[in-house]
Amino acid sequence: MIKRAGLISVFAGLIVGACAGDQSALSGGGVESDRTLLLTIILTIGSVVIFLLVLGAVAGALLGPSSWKRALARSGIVIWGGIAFPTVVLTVLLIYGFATLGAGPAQSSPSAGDPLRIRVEGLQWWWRVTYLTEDGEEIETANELRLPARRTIEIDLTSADVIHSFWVPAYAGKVDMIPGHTNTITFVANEPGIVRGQCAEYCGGAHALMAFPVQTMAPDAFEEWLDGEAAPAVRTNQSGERAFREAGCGGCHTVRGTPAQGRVGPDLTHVASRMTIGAGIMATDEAAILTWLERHQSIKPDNLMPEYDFLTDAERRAIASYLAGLD
Amino acid sequence: MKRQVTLTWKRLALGAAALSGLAVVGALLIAWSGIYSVAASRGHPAWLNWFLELGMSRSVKVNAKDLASPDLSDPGLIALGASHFQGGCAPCHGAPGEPVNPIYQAMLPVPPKLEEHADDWAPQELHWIVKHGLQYAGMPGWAATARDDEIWAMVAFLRALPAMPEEVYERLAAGNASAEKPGPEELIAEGSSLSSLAVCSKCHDTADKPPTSQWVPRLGGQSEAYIVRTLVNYRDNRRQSGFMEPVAAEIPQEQFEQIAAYYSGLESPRHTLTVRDADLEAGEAIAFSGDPSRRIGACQACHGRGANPAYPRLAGQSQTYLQGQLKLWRDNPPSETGHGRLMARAMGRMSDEQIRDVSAWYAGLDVSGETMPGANR
Repeated sequence: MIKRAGLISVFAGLIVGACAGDQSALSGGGVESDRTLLLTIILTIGSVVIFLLVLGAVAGALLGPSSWKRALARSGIVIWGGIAFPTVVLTVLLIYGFATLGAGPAQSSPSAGDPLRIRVEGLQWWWRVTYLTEDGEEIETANELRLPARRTIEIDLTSADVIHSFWVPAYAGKVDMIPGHTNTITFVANEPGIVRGQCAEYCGGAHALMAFPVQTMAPDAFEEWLDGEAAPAVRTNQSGERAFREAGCGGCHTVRGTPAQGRVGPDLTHVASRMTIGAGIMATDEAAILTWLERHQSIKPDNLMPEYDFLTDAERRAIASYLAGLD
Repeated sequence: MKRQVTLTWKRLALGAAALSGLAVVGALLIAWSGIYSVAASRGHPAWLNWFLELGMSRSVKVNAKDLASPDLSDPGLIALGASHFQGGCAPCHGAPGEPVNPIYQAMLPVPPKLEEHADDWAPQELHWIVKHGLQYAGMPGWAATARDDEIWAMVAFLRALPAMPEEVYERLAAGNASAEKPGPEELIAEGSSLSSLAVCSKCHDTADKPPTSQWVPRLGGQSEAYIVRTLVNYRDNRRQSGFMEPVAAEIPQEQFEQIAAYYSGLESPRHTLTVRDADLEAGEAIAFSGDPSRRIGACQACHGRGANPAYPRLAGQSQTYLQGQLKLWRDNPPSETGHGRLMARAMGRMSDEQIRDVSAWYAGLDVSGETMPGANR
């Protein structure tokens, strides 16, 4: 008996443990996810209470004294308990659920002023992120979101190829990214911190490797970061930049402020300042970048970047050191 | 005393089986005994000849009937086919004014003179024969069966051959190898050991002539690294071409670098510029920015100035050549090397219109990286 209780508590621990952390819908980091969490708690507790009531009635009808059985067999029980009660409860829940989840037009959090507008495009298997500033400027980055705390975030979601789904569980529910169609998700992140987002719709072989970190910052720090992100790359590493150019990397990647203006792959202007490379796969540092250049096809199979197996080690190292300096 | 034998289906079948068994045993006996002579000098008996020809011509017609023939009237295709014919086909088939070497005259069957017999076949049948070769006839298939485009050039030439005067054939077949100055013959006379250049300049550019056909790339100004790499790939069957593989296989390895050095320093004339209605601005946009919606990288990143010398320069190649190569890379990549995979990936899903536009833009581009003034606008 003790053994079984131990086993149950181990499993329960595992399950609850999976709910904590930076990619959890139960951590309640945003206005929208708080609402969802509240709805979840109400639903869970309410359903447990109702379930126990039903069990009690069944037990009474089977095992109770005959007076209980008579009472339970009255038509009033069926009318009030079986028709009126569920109708009222389900109607209330439905209205509350609609209000909470914002069925219909995207719901904006009223408290947080002008929304920050971002466009995120899903591609196999990464995220093109474009910040749309108030003066019409577009600042492109990739595979990472930085957000100001306590401000409405409005993200237009599209896809370049297949259906993806944008999901940052700590802040909001998932919304599909559909080719040729724009969906909008609106949410507010409560506090500075780092959480994780993930593609939530199977989109091909490396779907599981299509993630991104989300860093919520104090509003001032965010504005400072965005100014830095808008600036072109600082060109200090000439030999590295030359290796990058000669290999033709600029055919697909942009490094603003240099001749590299390709648009097929992620913008690399400030790649070294991002937390991860490969869309949430490896923590960014020079060694990781070199590893990526050496064997990205085994790290993330079938990604669109060619192998470049003809580059020499020296060329690869030069490119890695160049990219690691782009912060 | 007479015995009555009733004919039944069963007895008939048994008899037929016994007869076929006897025939098989008999055939085996004949083969084993060696009494049937396979001497080519002896020729085929008439009945066997008839049988083999029937099988051959029916097989070609049936297999080729669904092929669609492209437009073969382009003189550039005919010139290209002529150069290869001279080296690859004429030794056995002969050519206008060129008798067949007696060694090949003694083949069985004797390779037909194509000035007379190319007309026996429809274009798609010629294509099938050139591509696949013929069993029991010594006719080899194409060295790169994936290169249908090259085989159509051969067909274009074969269609033109029966009506071709001898001097026209000689001019087309020799290509630029007959160019006067500084001709390969002179280079050889000077002891520079570039005997292979005579082969190259049959099609490619020389100091005073552009390539012989719009389908042939201009090599002058390409980097040594690129030319050597490409020759090695052709020689090792790592890049598919029925024209280039046999040539690369014959050139001695030590000449690869000499050839590359010669062409990288060569300032040869460009193709005559013939740009067909293309959107040059769209072409330029693809060259500099690619097209992310079709996963097309920016061509100039690898093919412009300042890129790795192991990548080819495209400025000033003909639109015809570039279009043909781009379609090849898109539909049927001719090379599985690292560079080949890179190219196939980088061009993404380029549309026919985009291929036309970007090819036209490069055709009008000066090597220095600027559009030639008034070239094609």
